[in-house]
Amino acid sequence: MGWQRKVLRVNLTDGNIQSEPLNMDWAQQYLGERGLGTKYLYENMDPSVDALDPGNVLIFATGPLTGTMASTSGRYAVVTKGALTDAIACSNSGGKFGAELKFAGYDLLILEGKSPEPSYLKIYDDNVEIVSAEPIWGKTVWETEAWLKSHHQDPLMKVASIGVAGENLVRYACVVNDLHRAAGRSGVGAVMGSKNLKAIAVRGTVGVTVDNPKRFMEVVKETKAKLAQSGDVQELTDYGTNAMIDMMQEFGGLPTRNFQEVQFEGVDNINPGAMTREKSNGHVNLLTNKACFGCTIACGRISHIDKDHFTISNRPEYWHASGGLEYETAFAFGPDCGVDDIDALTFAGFMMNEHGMDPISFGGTLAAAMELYEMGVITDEDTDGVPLNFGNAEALTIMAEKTGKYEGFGQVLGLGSKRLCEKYGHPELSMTVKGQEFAGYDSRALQGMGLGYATSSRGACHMKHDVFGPDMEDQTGAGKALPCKKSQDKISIIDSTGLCWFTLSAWGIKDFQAQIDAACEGDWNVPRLFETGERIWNLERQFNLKAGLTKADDSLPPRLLKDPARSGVAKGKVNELGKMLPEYYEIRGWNEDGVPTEETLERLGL
Amino acid sequence: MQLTVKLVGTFAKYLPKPSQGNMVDVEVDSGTTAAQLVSILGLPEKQPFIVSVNDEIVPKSDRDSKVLQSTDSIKIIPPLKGG
Repeated sequence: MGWQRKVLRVNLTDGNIQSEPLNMDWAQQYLGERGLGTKYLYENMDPSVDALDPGNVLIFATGPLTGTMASTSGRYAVVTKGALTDAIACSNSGGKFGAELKFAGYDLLILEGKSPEPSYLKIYDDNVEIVSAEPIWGKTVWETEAWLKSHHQDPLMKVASIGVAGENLVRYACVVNDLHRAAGRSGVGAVMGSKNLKAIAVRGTVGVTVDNPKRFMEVVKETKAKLAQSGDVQELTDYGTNAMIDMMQEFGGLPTRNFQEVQFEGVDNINPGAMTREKSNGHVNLLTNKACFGCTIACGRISHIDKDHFTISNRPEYWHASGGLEYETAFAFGPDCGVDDIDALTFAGFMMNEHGMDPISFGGTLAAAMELYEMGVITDEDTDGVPLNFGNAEALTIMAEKTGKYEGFGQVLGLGSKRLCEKYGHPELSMTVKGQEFAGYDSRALQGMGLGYATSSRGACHMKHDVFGPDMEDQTGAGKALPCKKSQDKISIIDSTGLCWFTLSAWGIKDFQAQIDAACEGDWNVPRLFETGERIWNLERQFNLKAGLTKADDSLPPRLLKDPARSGVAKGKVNELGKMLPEYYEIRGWNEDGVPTEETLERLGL
Repeated sequence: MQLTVKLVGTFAKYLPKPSQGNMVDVEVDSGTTAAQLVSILGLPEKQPFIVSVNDEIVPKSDRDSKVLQSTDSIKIIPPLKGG
């Protein structure tokens, strides 16, 4: 148990809906969520198919611990071929939607084909329908969720949907659930839009069971106590993820103005201190924090914008509270675009949630466009007359809304940084790997982070490895390949449980192992977990190789490899990827072209 | 000798009362090392953090031998994490 042992398969082309038994051999090899989703994706589609083709498959995957009493058990993953990256995408989210899908009785929801007309999927346990989305096509994420709950007279319904950005195939459109939690990265929302699928509305009453309830309750009690007693976890609760912005600033790893610099002069205006500071008119940005399903950390921020701010002074529809600044949003709209207006950043964040877009990719794309504008390559004629200089808060907010609504220059920004920079003849200015924009960690200061970015299956991503410890100690590439590889395997398994890896502030792999072993059939010991993580990583690699990716895609932009950091602890340094990558391939059991050897595949049962 | 220390981000909570902001002036003997400063400030021994002097990281193994000067720019940076 832990698993529901059931998969819901929906063919949107012909409307066929069927449930099928979960392949338990695969569950024992890939656990759930990211791992199991990857296995089903690999076995159900041709990886060379275009991401926006009906042949792409879109999978919503829960983990064996999703919806259980374990802390942070609200996670689910969206697994598909990414519209932004043309590589495998695994984008996970919190909120309550994932647990509700599990309560409806499903481990996985597999969506195939393309609906002939805009539709949404309604799941009430075994009662599943494809319904016309005509009344909500063209509506925002927030309007869609409100309409569905009202139309079905069910305020407890959980909704995952796309906005106008996803409908129009903005390359980094995301899937938003519970108003402001998102499967944000790699363009999984654009894939959903390409299938004419507006939303998934779910209610579940089946509940979840675990293999050894008594043992499970014991280990959950122990692991929750560890979270409650952890000072690091308390900091996440108190400050949210934006606490990172001060650390990265002082470290000298805070990417600024499209990674031209590594420290930002305006950081004090957008950091956690600024979020809690009272303005002269009494306004305070941060209202409270918020937890996802089952979470005992509550790192989420709930904020509101000053009613006197230019963004909303005449727009009362935005005078409410909503999802506030997380670190990545603050970095991408702040330092990366040179903007230090916290209300503008918060408004742009609202736009991301309302219209369904990844803030990291939007911010990275706008930053590239700003650099091109300052070079004179992009002009006012391109930008609908909006001066796109770094630091222009109004430009940030206007372009966030234009892109969300797919209007004017927003359509160009919707291409993502890689395609935009290619369009204007400067591909070297795109701060991406495999077409996906970097998170807020400069890999000249954090060398292992750079290796993780370059080798991440879904393109530049800070959430698929954890080399922060070694990167703090030493600003060279020496000795980073092994911890990078090991942490990638570890996080592959954590991403497959249904739990959140922010628990890593207090939990080690043994804490995850104890919960998995109590919840799931089979002997889940630590070595088996690491082998499972390695299997998942290698299967993702196999998918990407079949999709046509090569060693050349395991790279970093020339700026990070050739232009030394101008300040901070890594002043004068560039990323040493050329030294780290061959060592990494060898440790992985891949050949010099980054292809897993026969021996590696055989060892992992691939 | 007086040292001026910046306790970055969440480490501001370790500032002696009634400090404001995240800077603190600490009166120390001349010859004080980075390790001694950490002890004086009462920072948690178990928690990893970075000691940066003039924008250069002092490796943990060198904290005992790194003698601080009154002109140094000293920062204590909390552990870096994902987010």
